[in-house]
Amino acid sequence: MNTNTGPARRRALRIAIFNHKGGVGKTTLIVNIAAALASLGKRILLVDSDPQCNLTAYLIEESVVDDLLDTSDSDVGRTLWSAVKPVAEALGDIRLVDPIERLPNVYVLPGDIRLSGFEQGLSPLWDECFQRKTKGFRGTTAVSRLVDYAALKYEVDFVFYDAGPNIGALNRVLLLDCDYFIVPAACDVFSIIALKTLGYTLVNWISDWKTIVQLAPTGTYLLPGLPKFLGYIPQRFRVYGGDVAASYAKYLPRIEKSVSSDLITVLRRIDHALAPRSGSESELGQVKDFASIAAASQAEGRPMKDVSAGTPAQRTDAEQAFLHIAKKIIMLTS
Amino acid sequence: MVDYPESLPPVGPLEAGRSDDDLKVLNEVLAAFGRLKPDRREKILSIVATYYGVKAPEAISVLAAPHHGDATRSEPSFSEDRSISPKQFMLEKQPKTDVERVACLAYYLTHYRGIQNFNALDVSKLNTEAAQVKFADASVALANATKLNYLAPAGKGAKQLSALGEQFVLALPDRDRARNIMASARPRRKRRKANEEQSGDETQ
Repeated sequence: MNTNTGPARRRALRIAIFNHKGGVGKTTLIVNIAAALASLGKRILLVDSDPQCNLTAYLIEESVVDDLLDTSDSDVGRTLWSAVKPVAEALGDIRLVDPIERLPNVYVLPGDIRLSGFEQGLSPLWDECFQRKTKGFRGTTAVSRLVDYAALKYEVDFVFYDAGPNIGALNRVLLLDCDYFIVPAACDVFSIIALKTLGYTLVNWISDWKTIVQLAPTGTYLLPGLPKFLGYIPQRFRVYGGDVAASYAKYLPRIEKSVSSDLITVLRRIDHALAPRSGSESELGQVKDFASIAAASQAEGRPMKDVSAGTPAQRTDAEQAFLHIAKKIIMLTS
Repeated sequence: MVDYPESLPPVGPLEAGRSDDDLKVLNEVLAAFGRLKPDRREKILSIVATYYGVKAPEAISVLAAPHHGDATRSEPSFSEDRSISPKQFMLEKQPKTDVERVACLAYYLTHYRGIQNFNALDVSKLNTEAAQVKFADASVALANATKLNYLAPAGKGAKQLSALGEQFVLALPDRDRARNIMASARPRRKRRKANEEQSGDETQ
């Protein structure tokens, strides 16, 4: 087994917030969980691996994001694309790019629209891994190695990947780089449909990578390839009088059932350790629809607990919800 | 043992690790400096530092308020002094509101980066570099800072730090002093009530 167990990986746990259905609140969740973990004394690195750059735009002013994207193709670029560009263009290895500190103890590696181009190149690189070619391994591990560098330099405790809503080649290498993944699920029928395909997709990725690991030349840097299911977070439901509104409440048991049958059971078929907890034990917390403070959080680039909008009770409510999830993440990963 | 002048701190427990020779020299220097006026002390200290190639103490080089308008000074201007990062500068100044943050960033651009005229993008970029939370709308924040006299228009949509804004940032983190500076420059409000009464009389 050649899997990388270097100091960066030992230091920082990598977690992907992943659901290939869009609009489930991945980015909002990531920012608020990161802020909650930072308030508990942890140092966080957020990797915006979505070519839509939502996470970057969440935390950085639009004009600065435009400027970052304008310069990302140059030698002074600071986005994820700037780092992986030499690999994508077969001009050399990754360029070490430093993340940008955006909240206390929260760092961001900005995303880039050009990552979609990198993603296209990743598919043939994946195939080259089967052919034991160095170029293939260099490409598939490019982001992972950049994260190694940033995690060590900034003494990060947790790395969060904000994965785009798809099951493309980029998400494949990111998920295989993770120690854990969390599935946010909106209370609607489409989230349940998405959960049905998620398990099978992950199993295919993990199985393929196992084959690649067996073929890999000795000493090659490899992704761990065993992302464990950390839990799911039902989101975006309305609450009336302290209870989940009836139209949303009916989805909560359906999500749990789908997580059990379509994700946990499927993952356990290849390795029980990939999903050690049952469906009912896997809920990390619930995040209701915070409406105005969620929108303010995105506009002001700060966690919901710190926004200028909403009532103090709403902000405290949000703070408690994300602190609960953050504490659970620490507990389950330590 | 010499009598220390009041303006200098007494030799404290830090001297425990020093040799007797160091202490003797220190006492002699302190005694000699005690006889000088404060402005001469700084001058002599500077000459001695230059002579022995010793760097100036950090306490008087990094965070000291700059002496603006002194055309004769020979030390590097603040635009050349990059010894303090924007993040450190903002931590030092502790602005509380968006307009105060804009004023502090404008000060940094002016004196540490040599950018006299700037726009919203310059301020936003520095804000990002300083690890500050993003502005909901940087253009609005700049417009508000201009309205409140922290900034002044510099033509073609650019802004510059106003004299008042400069004094305000220099006064920070002392909020009372900074508030007084802004309050002293606030334009007097028109006595609306008196005017209304007068116009009321005329209509009758």
